[in-house]
Amino acid sequence: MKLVVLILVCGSSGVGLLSVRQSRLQAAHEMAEARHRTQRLNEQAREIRTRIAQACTPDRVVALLEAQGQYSPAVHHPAKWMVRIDPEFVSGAESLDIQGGGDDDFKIQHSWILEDGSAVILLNE
Amino acid sequence: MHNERDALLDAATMNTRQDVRSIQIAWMLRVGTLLGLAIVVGRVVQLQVAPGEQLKGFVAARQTTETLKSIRGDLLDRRGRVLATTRIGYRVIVDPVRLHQAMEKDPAAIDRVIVSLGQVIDLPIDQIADRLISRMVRNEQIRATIKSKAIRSGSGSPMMAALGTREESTAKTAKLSRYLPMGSPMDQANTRRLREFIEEENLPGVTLEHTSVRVQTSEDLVGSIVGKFGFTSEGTARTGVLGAEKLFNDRLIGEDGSKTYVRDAKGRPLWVQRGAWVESSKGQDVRLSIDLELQRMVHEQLVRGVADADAAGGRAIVLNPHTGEVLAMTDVLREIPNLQTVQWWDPKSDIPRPMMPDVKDQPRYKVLRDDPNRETEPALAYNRCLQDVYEPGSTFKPFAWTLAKSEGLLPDDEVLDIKQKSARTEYGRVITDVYSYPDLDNWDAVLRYSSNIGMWKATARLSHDELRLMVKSLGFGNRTGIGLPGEASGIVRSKKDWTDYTQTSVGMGYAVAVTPIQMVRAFSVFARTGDMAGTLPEIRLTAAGDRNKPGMVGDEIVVERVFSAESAHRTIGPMREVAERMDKNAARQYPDDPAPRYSMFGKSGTSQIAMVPPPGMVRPNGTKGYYEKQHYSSFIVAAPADEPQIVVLVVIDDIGPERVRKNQHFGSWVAGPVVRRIVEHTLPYLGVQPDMEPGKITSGL
Repeated sequence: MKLVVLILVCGSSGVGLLSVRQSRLQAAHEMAEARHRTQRLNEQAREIRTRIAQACTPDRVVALLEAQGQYSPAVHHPAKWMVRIDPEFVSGAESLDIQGGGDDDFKIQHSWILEDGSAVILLNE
Repeated sequence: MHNERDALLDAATMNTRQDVRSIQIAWMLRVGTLLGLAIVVGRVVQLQVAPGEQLKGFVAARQTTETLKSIRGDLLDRRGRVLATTRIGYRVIVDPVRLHQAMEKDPAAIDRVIVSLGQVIDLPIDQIADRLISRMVRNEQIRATIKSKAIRSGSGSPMMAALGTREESTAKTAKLSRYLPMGSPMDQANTRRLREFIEEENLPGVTLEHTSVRVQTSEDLVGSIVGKFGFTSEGTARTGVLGAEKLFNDRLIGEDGSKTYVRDAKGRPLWVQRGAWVESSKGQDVRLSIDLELQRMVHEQLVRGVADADAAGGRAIVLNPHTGEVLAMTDVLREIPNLQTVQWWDPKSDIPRPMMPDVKDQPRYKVLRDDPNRETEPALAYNRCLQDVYEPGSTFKPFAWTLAKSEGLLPDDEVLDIKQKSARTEYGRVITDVYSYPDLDNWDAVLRYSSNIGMWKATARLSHDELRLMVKSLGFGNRTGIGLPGEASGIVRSKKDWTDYTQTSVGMGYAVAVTPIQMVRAFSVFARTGDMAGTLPEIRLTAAGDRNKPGMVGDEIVVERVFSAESAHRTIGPMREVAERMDKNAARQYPDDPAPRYSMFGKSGTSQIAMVPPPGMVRPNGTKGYYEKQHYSSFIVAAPADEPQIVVLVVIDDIGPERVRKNQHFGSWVAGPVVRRIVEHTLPYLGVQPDMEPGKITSGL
């Protein structure tokens, strides 16, 4: 009887140890997998970064704008003043008609609507 | 009674004997079981700790150690744009021996390999097939050779057996080719596709090799500055071999790591032991002083200027005179058809020395050296701003003028008599000016009108030592220290060879050979302001400024004074008028160009191109050492004139014959408008406010 108990105890201990070892190996495997996955993701990130860098060089951006007919080199400061307009004035306006005091007339060089609804316009004489 | 007792005693004895036996058996079983367990445990420990020789190979074969390659740091421009970076690529490696083995069972294996590779690597299918088959045929020839040797030596049977059944060992002993790289490293998408092919199509002998690929984003614009990353001359390691890649190699390189993992029968990783994964470290990023957008602008204008002048080439540099940062540095070579080569003469030959044709009959000669790599591999192109010297002509005059002025040798109230267009020196040399001017009667006018006669008179008042020392102090005759490989040091005559003739020539920008980078550095003595005026900047290829930004280092200010601040400032006035005259001329020449908005001061220069024979050869008879009709045209400025932010130099090489015939090959005609356009594009980009009203050219100081 004692022998049976002894064998059972030893056996179950062995099984327990083996299962713990297996769990440890499984965890190590998953960690290795995760590391390899991270490594691959890093490699992909580097590749994407490289592609972005190659696509965003100034000469490519200029070529892209020229292809769309939107490129005009800023030889001089294109605008004399920059004005920010609050959203409530922007939303109702159909067009921006801007005049200076006296005889000064201004031309809108560029205008942008920002995410918060406000507008930024660049004015030139 | 007695019998009963004996029977009881016997029974008791029997029981006792049986108990003893049972106990003995039980103990034996226990001991045996424990011994068995101990043996099992011991065996497990032995397998884990010290496996036998036979088993060791098997266990080791299930472990893989790979190097985790360090990622090289990026080269950035001054605004953080990526100029050169590293991506991970995978190169296809085919093992022809394994493929051959697989073909014995499955002859279609090679077809699958060729078709699959044809879809993912950058080689056409016929080339893939050709490379694979030729390598396998070569392996077959090696096998056949070994077989025939074995038969001849009479010990054929074991070898034959080996050849027939154990290709692995054969490959090792006979050095069969087992490593065949195919194509260049693939990107991630093609790598994924090939992995799928390997899984699904069973491509025997096809493996992927992990490699890093250095990528330049703007090779055409900055190739010769960024340089090249490649193998060392021994071919054992990869390193920066040219340009900034070489110059900053120590900062760019990281440290390799490693990983050791246990893999399954198919080679897939099972687990990594504790401490068996040592991460690699990335190298530092290096932020160059070059601005990619400025480089683009300058290059664009230079290309236009070279084409306008029908020139063979051009060079341009934009420098920050305060920090010494090179903001843009580019050069252009232009294909000119039907250029002739001078008939150089070999003194050792029997043929008589040829005669140079008359000036009017001279064709356009090839004066710039070939650069065959420029088109195919821009990183290998010559950086002509650093490597090709030229005689600066009149752009050199401000230096000698300033020296003479600072010595008090050119009084403001002196009235000069330079009405004629030519004059003879006391040593018999005839000096000529291109034009004569009625108001060329003071020293400012000498510089304004770039009078050769005036400069001869000025340099004649200086001693040889004074002028030579100033030339050397400005950095001519020495490398600037920018650090890029191949930089020329230029030529300054030795003290022994410095004659009266040299003295006059140097005053006019001849008899001294300089590089464009030396010129912009030297001209910065006029562009620096305050107490720093008259001092030279330390040329740098890295961005100056904030140490905390990635890729930046702290500044080290080294002051090398050449002129006093007052003397340097005094020269600006006449040079401002030079720039103004150039602008007026450019407005007539290019009426569609917008009116200038930035003031500037500078100096034009025109010089004939020196005839430099190849080693061992000499010039033909009838030459004075220069190509009579071929010139360098240059213009150097600092802008805005009051608070200069940039120094710009443009050199146009070998102006077209039509311009020369019309006398429109001078610096103000050819290089001046290019400099003006560069200034007008560059300063707004740098956020500098215009200081001139449009259409109005300011008068001189």
